[in-house]
Amino acid sequence: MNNKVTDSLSSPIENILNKFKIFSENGFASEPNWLKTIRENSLKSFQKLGFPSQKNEEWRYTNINSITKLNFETSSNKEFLNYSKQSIYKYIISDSYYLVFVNGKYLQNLSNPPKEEGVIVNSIKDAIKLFPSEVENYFSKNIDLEANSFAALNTSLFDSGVFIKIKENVILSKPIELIYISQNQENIPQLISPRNIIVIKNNASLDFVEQFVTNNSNKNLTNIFTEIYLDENSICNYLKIQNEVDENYHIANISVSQKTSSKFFSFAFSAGSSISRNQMALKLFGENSDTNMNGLYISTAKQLIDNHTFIEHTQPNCTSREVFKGILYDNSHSVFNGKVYVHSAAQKTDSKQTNNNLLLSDNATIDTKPQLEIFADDVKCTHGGTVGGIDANALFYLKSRGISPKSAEALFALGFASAVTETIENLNLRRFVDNLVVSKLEKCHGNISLPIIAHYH
Amino acid sequence: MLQINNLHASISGKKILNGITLNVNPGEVHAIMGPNGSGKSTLAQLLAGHPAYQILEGEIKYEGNDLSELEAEKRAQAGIFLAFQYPIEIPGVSNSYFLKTGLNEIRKSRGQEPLDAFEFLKLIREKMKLVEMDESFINRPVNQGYSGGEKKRNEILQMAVLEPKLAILDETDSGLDIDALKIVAGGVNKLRNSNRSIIVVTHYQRLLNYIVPDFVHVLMNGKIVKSGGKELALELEEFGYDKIKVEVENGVSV
Amino acid sequence: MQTIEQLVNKEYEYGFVTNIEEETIPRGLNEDIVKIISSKKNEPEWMLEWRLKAYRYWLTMEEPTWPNVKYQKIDYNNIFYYSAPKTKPNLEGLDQVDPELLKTYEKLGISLTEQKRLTGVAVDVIFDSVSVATTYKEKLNELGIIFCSFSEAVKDHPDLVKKYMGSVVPYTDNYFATLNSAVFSDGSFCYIPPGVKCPMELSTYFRINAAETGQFERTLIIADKGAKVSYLEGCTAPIRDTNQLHAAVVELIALEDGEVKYSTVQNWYAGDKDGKGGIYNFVTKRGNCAGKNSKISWTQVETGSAITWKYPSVILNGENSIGEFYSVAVVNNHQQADTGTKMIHIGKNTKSTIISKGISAGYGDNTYRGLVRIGKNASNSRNYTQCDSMLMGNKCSANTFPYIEVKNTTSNVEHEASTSKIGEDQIFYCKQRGLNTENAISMIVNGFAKEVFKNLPMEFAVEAQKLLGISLEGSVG
Repeated sequence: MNNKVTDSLSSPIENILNKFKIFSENGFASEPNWLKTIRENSLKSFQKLGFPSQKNEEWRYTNINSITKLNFETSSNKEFLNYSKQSIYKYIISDSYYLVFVNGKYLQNLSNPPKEEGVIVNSIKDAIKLFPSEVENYFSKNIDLEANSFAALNTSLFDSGVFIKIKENVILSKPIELIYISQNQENIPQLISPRNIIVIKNNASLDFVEQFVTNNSNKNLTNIFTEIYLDENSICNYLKIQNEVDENYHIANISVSQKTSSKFFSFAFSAGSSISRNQMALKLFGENSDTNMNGLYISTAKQLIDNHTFIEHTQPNCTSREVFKGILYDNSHSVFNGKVYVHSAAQKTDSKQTNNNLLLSDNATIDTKPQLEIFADDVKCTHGGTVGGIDANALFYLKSRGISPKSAEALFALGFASAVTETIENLNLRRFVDNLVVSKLEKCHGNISLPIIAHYH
Repeated sequence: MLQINNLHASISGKKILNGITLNVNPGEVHAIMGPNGSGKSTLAQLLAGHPAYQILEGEIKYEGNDLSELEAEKRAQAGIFLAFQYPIEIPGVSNSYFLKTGLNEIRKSRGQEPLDAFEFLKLIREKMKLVEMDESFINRPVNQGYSGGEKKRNEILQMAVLEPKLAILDETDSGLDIDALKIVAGGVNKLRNSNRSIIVVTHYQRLLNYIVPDFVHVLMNGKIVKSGGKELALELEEFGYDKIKVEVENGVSV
Repeated sequence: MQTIEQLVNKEYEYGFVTNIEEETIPRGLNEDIVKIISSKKNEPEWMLEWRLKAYRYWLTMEEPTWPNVKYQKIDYNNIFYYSAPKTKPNLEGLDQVDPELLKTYEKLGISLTEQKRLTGVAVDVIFDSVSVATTYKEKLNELGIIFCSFSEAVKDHPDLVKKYMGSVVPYTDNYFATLNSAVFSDGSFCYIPPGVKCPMELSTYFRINAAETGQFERTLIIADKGAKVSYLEGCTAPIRDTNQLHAAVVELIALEDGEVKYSTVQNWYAGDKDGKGGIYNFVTKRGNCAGKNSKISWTQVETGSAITWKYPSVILNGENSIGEFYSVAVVNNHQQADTGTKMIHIGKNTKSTIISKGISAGYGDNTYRGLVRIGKNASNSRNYTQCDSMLMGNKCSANTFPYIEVKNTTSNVEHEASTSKIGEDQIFYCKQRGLNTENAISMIVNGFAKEVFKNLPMEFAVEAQKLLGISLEGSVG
């Protein structure tokens, strides 16, 4: 046997440990002790867990070897001056507040933060300085950092992100949009670790968007962790758009906690990155809460898009609805793993989960795992999954009306997608996503032109 | 047939019935009317032996015997039938198998020979005509995928097959359009005879145009506050429950 | 008023022990044990070689931990790997069978004596590690059908055994299958020659009797071109405090136009109501639809065992081949079941159907785990999966873990699952129509499992329906 000794200093994990050491000295040294302890413990967890391998059941279908061999830069002091209003215009959703970040760095001059009463928006670092105990109350409350290596990695290294709080009874008039631009920095892969905490107090309401895009080709890894806390009777509409170019990497953990009578509606659109994983864990802590967790993924080329969702019912009389749809082209690979877990106390749970996939290439692969774990007997739970190509009858019908096979296929795909995008309630947000879907599908179907989806009433 | 004396009852600690007294003789049709939450359905379920209700005080006598300790199936075997307000679905079990099993249990308890499949099929076909039900329902699963009207008709079909001595119809009119209502009521009327007692529980007077009662009782807050003949139902239709409420509050005689 | 909880749990009917002198070999597992087992069975050299290869491979393997079941670690060196009634097992006629054994099977409702035999069913009876009797053998011989114990097949039909043994479940397949390959004791062998439709149901009845003995039987069924066979398997074991391991392997092969239907009613001892004792049922069952238009169908009713871990699967190699899986799994008290199927679509136009009905009561854990894989070349393939769970009470669980992997655009996969409960309201409704509680539960549960029962052969369906009622008595509150 040839015992090849790897140079420990150059191994990616060692690299991260070193970066953490530097960061602990001149990055977070002034932070409160509780946070420093969490950062250190998180690093230990990450060190213990390493990057997940496919032997881990939760990562069975998701091979991230190309990420784990990179030596990332974790922070830099670069200033990003090459951005203008024009260059970011296309990312702005009409009639919204927006905050722009490049490789995690906040660009104040290009941003339009909310100035309404009852809304607090701070960078996470300022929030830790200004009201540390409030941040502590909402920090890592609904995640097992010892079991989730990317969330642990984020927690140990985060140096950007925002803290948003909507005060009691405040209904924000416009959505708040966070625009994350990933940019090439001297061809050195950057590990970007934003941490967002969103708190919506009793009877308050927020439309919240996270959009991830790239300015140019790069091998950066965005490893974001967003925590959303819904207090009693509050509402959150959450939209995530993952549209980075297909060379870089994207891992997102989103953890949502819902109290009594709250409503959470989310939509995750994933079309970018060479490897992306969207990991949403939602816990229903209070009775009579509603959850709608929907999404659409379109994978092309050699992309791997993975959506992992976990909805946990701990209290009675809650409803959850989940619809994820996927369209697969070329040599791409998509993974859907949805779990609904019903605790024994969560009687009268009403839960429905659906995953439908449209497979449009013989070289594409879909792996789907819709799971139910149920410990209460008086519940209504169903889940379903389908995988198929375009229905031959439907295709024939379109063709018999004079539509070319190419357009017919594209139309079919568009119809398939729009059946889930129409669940986005805010019309501006829906229009924005629909436009992205249309231009993506136009490209996928050989630059044909498609109508804008007509489901605005 | 049925004597209820000063009946008090509760469900999970909440008191619903507050001293009901009612006497039903063979062949009589009694209507029990009342606003929502007055205890009508509780009374119906309690008579059929639903395990969720507790009797706190008073007694129910059926054919001279105390009912309170009797399991639901023993009551059914003794001839008590409840047409459910919300008939229950039993997936995978055909209507005919369900009803045949029930009927043969009841026959066994009466010392009668069980019906075989052919005899039963003949019987059920005959009874289906009574409520104008399609024969396809014989093999459909119990109440699963039925419309509201079909469920209610199925209840009356079961009543026709089981031939009870005392039938309690719990809001059998709710959710029915006028045509379905006429069919259901027609079925019930054909089952009226001098030995069979019927209790019709309803919120509205509408059903009583088709099933004409001998007596009408008004139930409020778990108590019968007024009794009378069929004209009482018309009075309720005209003036609503509020008038009676005022009368009761003002101590006007019941 | 009598609540359902007050209904008494019915005792396990088949829990008695037969007092018969048994021959065992020392506890534990090593190469010598493997050699002893092989020599006890007078096996040829090639068979021993195969066993040893498997044993050596097993030493390199680790026990799987991914199933959703929990149990005390098994001490593989504290198990007896061979146990047989002392009387000579290789029998000419049933008059030579030990009368104690005959009595045992009478008690189990399996009559071996000529007069009272199950009409139309040929039975191979396995008692602990050996086959004790096979009925209707001659009649089947006339048609060229071979139905005998695995040990006999090794001696009398070595070519067939060599050709097919391990062709569907290789000795390297998984921890328990590999262990079985090393130490398997006996089992049934069955070969249906081309064009022959087996005129009767073939059946094996497995019985574990001896204490602390593992049972490792191996079954191999081959339907040659155009042949058809329906096979039934039943199992019971005595009540014992300690857990016993049952690690069987079943391989089915269907050649062109061949058809195998395999039905199981599994009623191993499940342990007592506190979860003590019971069988660990870790079984590998797999079929190969090797030829065009072939069909393999699994139907199982799982009511027994402390732990069940099995995934009767079909590899759909032949074009237009069909795989089916119909399952009812019931867990009560502290039983755990992680069961389901794998449908591997390789050939074109292949079709599979999965219907799984899980019923959980008491503290039982019931998991459906199923894989549907559509390969790149499996054009126009179809799968339909339906998994329904029913829960009784609030201390049990029902889990559904489907895995769907598709690489072909012209194929279609559908999965549906639902969970429901058996409600007080349903029971009250039945009682109001004159049924007692027991009959009401039995009716509701049988209605729930109806789609599976209708796929069982007549004789089994009746037994299965009864079993279901028994396993669930006293479980609804």
